[in-house]
Amino acid sequence: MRRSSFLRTTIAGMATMVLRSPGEAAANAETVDYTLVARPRVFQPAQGVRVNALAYNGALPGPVLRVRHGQRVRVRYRNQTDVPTAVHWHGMTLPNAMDGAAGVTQPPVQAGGSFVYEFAPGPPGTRWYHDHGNGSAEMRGLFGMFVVEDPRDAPADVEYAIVLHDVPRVNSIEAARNGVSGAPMVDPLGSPEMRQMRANDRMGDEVAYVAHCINGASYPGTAPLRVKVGQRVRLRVLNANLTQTRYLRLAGHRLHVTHADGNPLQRPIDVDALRIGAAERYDAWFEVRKPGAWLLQGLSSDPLAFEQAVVVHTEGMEHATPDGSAQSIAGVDYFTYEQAAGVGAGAFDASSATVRKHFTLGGGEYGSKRWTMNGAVWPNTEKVIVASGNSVVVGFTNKTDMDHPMHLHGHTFEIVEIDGRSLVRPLAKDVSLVRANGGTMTWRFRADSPPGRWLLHCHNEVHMMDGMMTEVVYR
Amino acid sequence: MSSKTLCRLVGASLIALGGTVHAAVAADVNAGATLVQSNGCAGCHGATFQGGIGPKLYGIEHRLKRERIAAAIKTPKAPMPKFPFSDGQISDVVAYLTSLDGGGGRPVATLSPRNPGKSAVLTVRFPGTPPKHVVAIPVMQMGASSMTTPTVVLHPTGDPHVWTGTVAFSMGGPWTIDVKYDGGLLKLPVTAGSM
Repeated sequence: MRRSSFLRTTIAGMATMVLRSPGEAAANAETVDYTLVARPRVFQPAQGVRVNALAYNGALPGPVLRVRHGQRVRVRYRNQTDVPTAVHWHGMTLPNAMDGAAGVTQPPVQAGGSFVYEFAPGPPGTRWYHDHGNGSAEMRGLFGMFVVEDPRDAPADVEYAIVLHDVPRVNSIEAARNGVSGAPMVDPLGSPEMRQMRANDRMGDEVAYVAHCINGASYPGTAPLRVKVGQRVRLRVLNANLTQTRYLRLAGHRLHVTHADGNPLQRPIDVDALRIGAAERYDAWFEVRKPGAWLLQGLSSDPLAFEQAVVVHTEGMEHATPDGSAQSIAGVDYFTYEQAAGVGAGAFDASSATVRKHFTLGGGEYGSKRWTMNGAVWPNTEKVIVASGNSVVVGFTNKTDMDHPMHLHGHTFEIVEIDGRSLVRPLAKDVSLVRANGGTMTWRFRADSPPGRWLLHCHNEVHMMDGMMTEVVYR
Repeated sequence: MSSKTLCRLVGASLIALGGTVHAAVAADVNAGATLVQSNGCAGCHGATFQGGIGPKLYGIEHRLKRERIAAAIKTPKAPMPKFPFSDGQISDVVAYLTSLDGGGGRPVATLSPRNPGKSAVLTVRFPGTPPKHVVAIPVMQMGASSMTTPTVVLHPTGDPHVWTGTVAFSMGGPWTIDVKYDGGLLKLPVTAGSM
């Protein structure tokens, strides 16, 4: 067996995350070896912001892992932090014991401990990896992108990884878990919970962020993306913020969206902006038609929102003033599931499914520590029991006043229904936002992953830690 | 890049003349306030426009002529981005920025604390003839809709030109306080939140 061993040590904080295929030796190897070491580091993404973070291999975000589809990886993981951890391979179908869900698929990797993950990464597409030790280590910096090259993809002239991430104020995580944080809600459209609020209502569920970053730095310290006139540029975008939805816009350009959570759209669409829930990924392309400099911006109503930006410029335009976009997204054509999938005339017919399960998402009252599924919190939530080969339909009704980015481990599901309307071109995803205040969504998937216990949970870290989690269990 | 370098760069943009900015016939201060709020200017210039990555804007009319302020917005220097403003909108923004400290004879509204949490004391000083009735309405815009907290009736202090009251914010985030007085309107953008 030929092997290639390489440890990528991205320079933390200022990395331009241009994506290249592995070198020839690595590309031809049957198994690619990586070493990931989680350890503390000081992170200073913006002026006046200095936090004690955790990072993989000293890089925040962690190094981009990249393999061809069909290759195997062997990841030697060492935990040099002072908290229990585990590495979850988000969006991958893999042996259950490799899923990295601490306490469910493996014991936590204790401080000073190690674990070897070995699997064949797939399906192909933009995936990611992050801590799943069921604490807040992920929020402190343990995340990175994982690209599984798809030989069916059209070639890009240049590819960039765009990881949107934010630095939480540590004590606000605890305040949000107790439902009393008072931190701003930042969806510039007005998040659903805000639209439902009355004058004296209070919000206590959001985490406060002290810095907003792209690829490890805040604007104007972000490393620019260099492009050339005539190039077709592919952006692999990940929202690694673990509570908030982001919008992403490139001034002066439309974005051609081809993949959602790494999976090809049945029909790519063009939009002004992406709307990206926590843990979601989108592949978006644009063509450089003329020389210039433009801001790629995360849009929100957070007063520090302008920090989440990076300059895209052509050669010779390093010092040009970039074109920017307003922080408001009023009138902006942004990506929606319905736009990509098309809305059908009637409701989805689930009668042919072997297993049907419905969850009502609840909890989250002001001052509450409970986010519930059918009234219960993890580990007492009802489970989805399946047998290999079953056709499974899981539905949600969201009775809370926040959107929930629901995520299923180890499977790719299709969104087949939103708010009572079936979708014409079901969207293949692994995490999807279930709309607040009565929104409904239905997933369909086949139970053809390796048997085991696969977590199903809200990817808002606060909601997950406060109980909004269950599992799909193979009999 | 050091903060000093940044300030020099941005400062330079404020004295760089470029293009032609037509003086608006009647610039709309309140439209300018809305543009400043929706474009996130406070992100770089500070929640109370006392400066940050970008220079201090409060009292800027005492340091720069209006034409130069307009030119700095129309043809900025990095890291300040160029916004797709019309000349009329730039005039509105300039009118608002130059009224922050009462320049132009407009009322001046101040909040204490300046970065409020759930409530703050609003004080409005009116030049010229004192008003007869003043109310304040905190508004949070949410796309096409908006949310308000209860209207506050302001009361005159010992000085009939100075009115005050306590306004409340039900959540953190960007708010605008609409101050209505004898048929006039003053918009005060503010960032609230116990961050």
